[in-house]
Amino acid sequence: MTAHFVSFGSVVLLGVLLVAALWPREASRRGDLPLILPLGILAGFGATSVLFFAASLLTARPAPLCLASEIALSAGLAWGVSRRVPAPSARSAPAPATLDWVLATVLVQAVAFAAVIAWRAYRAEPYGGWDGWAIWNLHARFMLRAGPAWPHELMAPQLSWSHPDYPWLVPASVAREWAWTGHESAAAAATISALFGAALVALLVAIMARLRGSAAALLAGLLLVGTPFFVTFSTNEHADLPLAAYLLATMGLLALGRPAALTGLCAGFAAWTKNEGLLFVLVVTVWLAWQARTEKSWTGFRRFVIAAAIGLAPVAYFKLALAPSNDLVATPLAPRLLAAMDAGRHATIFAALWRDLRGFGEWTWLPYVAMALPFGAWRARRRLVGPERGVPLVLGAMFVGYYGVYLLTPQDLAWHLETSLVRLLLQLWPLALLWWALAVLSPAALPAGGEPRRWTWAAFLGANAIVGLALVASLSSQPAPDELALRRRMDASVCVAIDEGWHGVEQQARQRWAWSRGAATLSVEVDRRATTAPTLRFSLRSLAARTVTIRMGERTLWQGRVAESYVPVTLAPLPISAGTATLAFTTDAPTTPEPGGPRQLAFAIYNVRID
Amino acid sequence: MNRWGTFCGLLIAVVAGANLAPLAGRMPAPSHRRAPRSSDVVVRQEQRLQRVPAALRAHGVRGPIGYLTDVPPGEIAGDSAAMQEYFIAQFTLAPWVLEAKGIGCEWAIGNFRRPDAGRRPAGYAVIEDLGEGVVLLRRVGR
Repeated sequence: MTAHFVSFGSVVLLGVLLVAALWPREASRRGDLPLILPLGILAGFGATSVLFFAASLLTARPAPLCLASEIALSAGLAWGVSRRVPAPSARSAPAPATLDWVLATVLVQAVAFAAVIAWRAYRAEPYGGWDGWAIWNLHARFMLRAGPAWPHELMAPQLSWSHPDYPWLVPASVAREWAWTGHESAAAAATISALFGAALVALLVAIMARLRGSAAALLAGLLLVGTPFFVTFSTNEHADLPLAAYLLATMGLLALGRPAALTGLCAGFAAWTKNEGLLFVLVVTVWLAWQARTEKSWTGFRRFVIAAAIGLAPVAYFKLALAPSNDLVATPLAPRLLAAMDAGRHATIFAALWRDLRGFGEWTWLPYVAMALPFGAWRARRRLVGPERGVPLVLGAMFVGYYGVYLLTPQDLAWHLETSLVRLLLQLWPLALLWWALAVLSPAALPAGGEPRRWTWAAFLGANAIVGLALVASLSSQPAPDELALRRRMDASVCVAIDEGWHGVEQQARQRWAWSRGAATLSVEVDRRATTAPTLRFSLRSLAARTVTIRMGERTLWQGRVAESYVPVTLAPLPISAGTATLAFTTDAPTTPEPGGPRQLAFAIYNVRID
Repeated sequence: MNRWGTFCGLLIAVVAGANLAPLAGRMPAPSHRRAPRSSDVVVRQEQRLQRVPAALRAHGVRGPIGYLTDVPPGEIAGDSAAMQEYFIAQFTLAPWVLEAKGIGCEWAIGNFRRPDAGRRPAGYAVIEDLGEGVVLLRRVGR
């Protein structure tokens, strides 16, 4: 665990120092901390993944070399940053309005809730979703296990399905973490994934707070956290959210007018994350060149290009020297251009786009109407100015680019759309939210509040901490799908779960039950030594009259007649204080067919309570 | 606009909350049992194959190794379940490269679900039975 903290701490430290070194001299680094910290996470993973990638090509034990280079780079950056005179905080944020407090409270609770759900998503699929294990974690394993020859091993034709040409930011970050800690923990890969998700939310809120004030920032954050697909995907160990984070960082920094060098670095790291990032670099570069030409000022553009080239260097080396051709460009272009004329392909893409624009977020309530309503007050709409105009332009160009890729794909188009479009839309969703929040509310549109007193902040934090903890505790006490009851107390946690012979746990409203197929067993687990033995209370029911016997080992705990009406049963106290006990249920009568269903049913256990 | 803006802001907050709440049911709580049997197919397959790397190392196996399963090598590509098992086996056994066509490799991994079926593919001898239908095979004769 300590190694994990040190490793992640090193990523964040290096990243924050890198961002601070590139931050404008006239800006207050302390005041900009909400921006610098999430940017530091992104820059840190970008820089450390490049260092580990290089080290992995040189030695079979890349961790020490990577560590040495990280220490040297951090020390150099720290020295550079410490020599700069800190600028005073130039601007104070406007006082929060009542609505801001309400929205902040909802966002904090939504984040707490989302964290629990993301944890559950990780537990359900520890190695991530399909691409998580079949591409990104597989590549990380090759990088770590095969020694410096990993590119050669991974380019074997048998592995072409794993897309060995994909960029290396995510696999190298995972492999670095595994190398540092000495074991290939799935949790490490999920933590990296979650850190990108958290940085994405924090960055969106921080950028919008600076550009449009806290209400717009909190609403944008809420819309992102309120996207179920984003929440469950945040620990799914794909590269789409890291890419989304670099896209947002690049466009957010441009909109803020922040240093071109940092912006270029983020764009370069986008290309180091996924092939779609290459398209993004191209689009942003073209837009910035056009803007520089219009303004007749090329200084910022040059800085952007130089920094982007630094981020792109490892991608270029990998693509030109090590990687096989991408499957989308390796096949002849002429027949694909001909296929692009087929109206049916366009119709297929539009149909999928229509379907997935509504569904990609896995929303129960589509947010689009609520997002459109504020435009009802047209005077409050703000025109995008200066570099802000790049956000919709780049977003639109990315859409067009993705459309073109689908049009020309050599893969089966329906399959390609089915397996990737929702992820591409999720990549662009934070950018779309940035555009929405920039366009929808002017800072003067919402009521301003008075200067908050210190106790206001304390009350806000205290109340949110209490509610958040209660929320997390409540979610933590939900039983798993195979568990009939769960009791969590300080002295002992007790869990009652179905084992053999049951059809599965069913639930309706507050009723929770399981039907048996005949003889069946329940498992009772006490995880720590309890001061008192647990007592189980539940009801038994059967469609036909029968005798049910409950035994624990050789000892009969209960025996009785069970029929259609509920029969209360109390097993008190169970002779178990810690460990696992098995309760064996037997019956003297055969099963009966389920009315209107295919199952054979013996008896059911209802509403288990642990006292 | 202030009232309208407040209304819209609160509505967005409500919509976000209403979208999040169903996740508590859609993404069920993980098991609280001490040694739960994972429902994740990757974890389960990795557990089945966990003894293979040590066996491969012990026999000094290098280079691509064959991958044999209940489905004949020529038919794996058309069987999505068999393909998924092959991909997971590759994920587990990296950096050894698995040849799904099976034939032609000196060494092969047998990953069989059906008891006894195909445990002795023609031309291969079982060198080590690693349990749960997983066997290390070596080619015999030519």
